[in-house]
Amino acid sequence: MTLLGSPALGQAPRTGAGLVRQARAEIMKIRTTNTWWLFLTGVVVFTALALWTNGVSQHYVLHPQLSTMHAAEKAQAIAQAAQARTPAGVAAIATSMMTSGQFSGVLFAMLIAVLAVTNEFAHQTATATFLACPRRTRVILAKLVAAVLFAALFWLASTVIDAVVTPLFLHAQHVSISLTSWIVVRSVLLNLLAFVMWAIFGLGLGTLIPGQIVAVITGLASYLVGYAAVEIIFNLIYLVYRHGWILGAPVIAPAVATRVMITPGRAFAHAPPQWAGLAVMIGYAVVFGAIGVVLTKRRDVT
Amino acid sequence: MIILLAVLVAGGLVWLVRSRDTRARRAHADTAWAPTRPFEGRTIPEAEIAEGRIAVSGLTKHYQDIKAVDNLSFAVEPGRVTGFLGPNGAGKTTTLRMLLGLVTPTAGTATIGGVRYADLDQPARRVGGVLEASAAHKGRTGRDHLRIICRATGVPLARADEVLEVAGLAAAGNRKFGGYSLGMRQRLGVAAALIGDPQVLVLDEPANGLDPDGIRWMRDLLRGLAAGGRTVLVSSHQLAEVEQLADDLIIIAAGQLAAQGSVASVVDSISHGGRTLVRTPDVAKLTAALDCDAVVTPAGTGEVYVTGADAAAIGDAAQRAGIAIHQLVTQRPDLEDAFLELTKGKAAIR
Repeated sequence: MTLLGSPALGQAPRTGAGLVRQARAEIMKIRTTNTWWLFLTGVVVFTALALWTNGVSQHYVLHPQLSTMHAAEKAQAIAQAAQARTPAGVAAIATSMMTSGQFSGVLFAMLIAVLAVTNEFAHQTATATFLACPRRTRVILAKLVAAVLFAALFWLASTVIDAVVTPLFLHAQHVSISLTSWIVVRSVLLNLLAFVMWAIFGLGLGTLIPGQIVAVITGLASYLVGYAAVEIIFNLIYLVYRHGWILGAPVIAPAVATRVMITPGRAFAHAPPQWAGLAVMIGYAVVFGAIGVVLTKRRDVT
Repeated sequence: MIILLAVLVAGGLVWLVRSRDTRARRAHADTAWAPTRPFEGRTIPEAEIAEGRIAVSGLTKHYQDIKAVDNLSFAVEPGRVTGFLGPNGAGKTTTLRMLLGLVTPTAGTATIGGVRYADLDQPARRVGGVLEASAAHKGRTGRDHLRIICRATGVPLARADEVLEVAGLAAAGNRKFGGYSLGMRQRLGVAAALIGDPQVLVLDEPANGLDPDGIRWMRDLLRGLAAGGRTVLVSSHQLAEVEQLADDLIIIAAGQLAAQGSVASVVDSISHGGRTLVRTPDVAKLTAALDCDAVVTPAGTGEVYVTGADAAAIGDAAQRAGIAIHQLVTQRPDLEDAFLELTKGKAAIR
């Protein structure tokens, strides 16, 4: 074989459309390093942990340890247990169990998306990437496809474990609900939405902040600290201006928006409707992504 | 708390795996290369030759108040190796990156076959670029790095193995990039550039870090590609290497064109036409014996450089004066002289 007479090149000169080709390349990039399976392992481990803690606490709600309680506590615990055994209560337990691991899983979905972009600069692979595909918007879109697919994979892994454990748990607790009932399926699908939206959020963040460490810290902060911070800020504002909507305004924080988005009905007192949470998340993704694409197109790769 | 723990655990795992890999790879990073194959050329049709012409016109790049590249114009012809020279910071890398669409010019154009890189239909099938030694993910194998480029370029994945073979990396393909030596990284960069079997090759300092065997391999490869009708533009610091490799030269200094032309014409263009090294026990007497056009400058104990008189004239004069001559060497200006003169005063760090 010589350099120029290439059997491989002669065989198939061109395969697939531009975006599909690039998306497959981006999936391959994630697949060919350790990060994804380490994260997947993390998803599995933390889903198991979450199931365990969730299961234990649900068990004590259903079967309160009455002998160790004062009279007042006892009455409250019995009322709680009775409430938990109503159809609505059992459904709540089932949905909670079926979405165990969401808290950490969503984080991993966001991080893999952040890394998909920032790795290009951290490892100086942006040069090779943009030489192979100088249309930078296409590269970002391809990364979006890849990140969403891996987020969905993480969701799937988490959900499969939940789907195995939850029926066993419910059976052991002597309560029953069909896991194919809409109320449960809806939560599981909203859970997928949360994974996907945070992957998109992470991608937007990565294109906006190419510095890997800064982007990861910003992502972690907006997920973990953001929740408490906005809640405190808006509660303080509420103390001055007594308008109910101020208490719903924390939805502008991505972590709060996610909770609003995935909670049927009202996530908390004065919470805006579910669609508002989704709108906020899409807003972040679009705004970050758009600014990120413009910056990426302008950025000199040196 | 749980999340912080998660991040710590994940981080620890990554660190463990990375460090183990690195150690394992380092152990056999520098094993012998697969022997490289001699290049076999082919005749390129005329139409492809027109497509392979690089044209840079009025190219300018300003970084804040520094003119990295300043109104630079030159052309690079197919079928020849063109050396691209300049002192550190002269703007070579910036120019090549503008040519490949990675850096946006402040003004001017850089085209390949009349088209900007980003506007080419299948850029990686037309132009191959080798720009950084360390441009692959350290945790990914060389083979996977190439396969990803195959995917993005739209060529079959089997092409990755072909170019690994061409680059003499077949044995190291399944090792992680983090364990590659600098020479192996350069070879991987060249392999990546060859994936699309491009008509044009643009290489930034490809000989950096290569051992003598690797330098010869690179030289044979680039000469072979040019002989096959391809355009080869290669920047370098190693003047002796460029002198052996290149047909044409482009020399820039302080972002501006200093010289362009064939190697011979660039070397001949400089002012001093050569000098003669003379070793004699009696320097003073020789100086007196030479006619007044000759300029004598001391070169060491019993040695002088003479300009303004050729070796024959010096020898004749010495014989007439009865002076012993132990050595008489004509020194033609070489590329280093030409380079230093052409870039004189423009090599300061800007």
